[in-house]
Amino acid sequence: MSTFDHTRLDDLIHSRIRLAIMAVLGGVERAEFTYLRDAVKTTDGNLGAHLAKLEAAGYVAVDKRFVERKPVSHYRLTAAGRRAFESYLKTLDAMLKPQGG
Amino acid sequence: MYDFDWIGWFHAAFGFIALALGLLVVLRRKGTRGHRRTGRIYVAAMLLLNGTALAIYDLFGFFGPFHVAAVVSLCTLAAGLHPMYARRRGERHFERHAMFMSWSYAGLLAAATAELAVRLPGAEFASAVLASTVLVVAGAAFIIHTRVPRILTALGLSGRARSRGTTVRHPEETDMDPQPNTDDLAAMRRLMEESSRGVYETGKHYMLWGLVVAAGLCLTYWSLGRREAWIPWIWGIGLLVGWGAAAWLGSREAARAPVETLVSQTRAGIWIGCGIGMTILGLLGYYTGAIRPGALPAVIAVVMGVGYFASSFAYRSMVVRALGVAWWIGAVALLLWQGPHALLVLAALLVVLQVVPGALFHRRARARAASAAVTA
Repeated sequence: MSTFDHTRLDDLIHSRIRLAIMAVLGGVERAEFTYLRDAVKTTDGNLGAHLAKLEAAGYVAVDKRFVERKPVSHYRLTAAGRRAFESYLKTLDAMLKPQGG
Repeated sequence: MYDFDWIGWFHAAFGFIALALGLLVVLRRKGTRGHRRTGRIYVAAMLLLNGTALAIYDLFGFFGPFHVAAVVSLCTLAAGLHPMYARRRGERHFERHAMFMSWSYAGLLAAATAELAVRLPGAEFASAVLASTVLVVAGAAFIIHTRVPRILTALGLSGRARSRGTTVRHPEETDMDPQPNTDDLAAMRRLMEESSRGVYETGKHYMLWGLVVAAGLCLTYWSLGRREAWIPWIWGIGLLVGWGAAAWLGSREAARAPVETLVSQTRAGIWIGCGIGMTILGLLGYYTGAIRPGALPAVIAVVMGVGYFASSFAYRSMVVRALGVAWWIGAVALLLWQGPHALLVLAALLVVLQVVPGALFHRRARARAASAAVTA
């Protein structure tokens, strides 16, 4: 298998927004929706849709609750999400590294 | 030969039954038929336990503090049962049930521990009751406020979570989403690094503890030579209020904090650890006589120094580190210069090195929140 085999990259993470989400969550224990939105610099709807995808894959877990009647959602990476993210970074790193030399 | 104390024996028997049943409920799966059955017997045992408690008048001969405790226990039980039997269930009824029932059991545990503590050889009644109650209640607050939300979430019962709307599919969600390139990888690394540094500090815990302990110290100084019997009560009530308010603040802040990082957890861990350490040193050290009352302010100052010094690495702040050093200098001064005035010196240190930094943290947090609201 070649280092450049594109199938080795996790499709789910290989999107700008989702990669950014994974990167932010990778650095923290958990983050609130608006914090994520501001860090990733996207819109509510877009972020929500991408988070739903990551959640469905089991990469991200959410804890939704109400604080003073306002909905507050805290997101965190699951163990599977953390593993997937790490292996994604490793693969991409290997691909981008200068070859031969 | 005096009369066999029937009420006392019934009281103890119902207490043991309630303790055992409560433990069963705590350990086993929630919401099952068994949970409900065990729970009902627990409630019956608690009713009889508190009923007999209200009938015991040996201790004071009048309606005393333990009768108040029995009434509080009955109210907690009622508040825990009400959501399960109410005709109209609120959004958070399972949470209410779980919280109040947990506190009902915590109260029972505190009472049982107090019964044990006063039977220790050489135990002085008031301090034994207060010290054991504060320790059990602090432990219970910690366990309840960390475990109960998790259990509710695991069961899908955190009412608040269920009433949140469904996810809206957004048209932007397509496979046309741009994909990352080399520059992005570096940007992602930066994003990760930046987000891992966030510490959300409102400073409220600093102000709370600074004020509670400083007030306790001033009251203690005032009671010296006047009302020395009050001292254990001042600290028992002060620490209960402090830990109760801290648990409440902590759960509120945890729900609102925009982000939680390893750094913010480390900071919270350092301070909870120091707080528990100081509570043990202050209560048990004083109560057992292991720490001379004259040395206690210095011991507290040393632990405060450790707390500030250690957490300064989480805050990445030289100012916080300097506060730690200032606390240690204060500790040295308190050791070299012992006496009743040490109480007032420690109170002053708390205001200058704890309440003031807390207020500054608070001001910064508010300024940050205001600017975030403007940009959002």
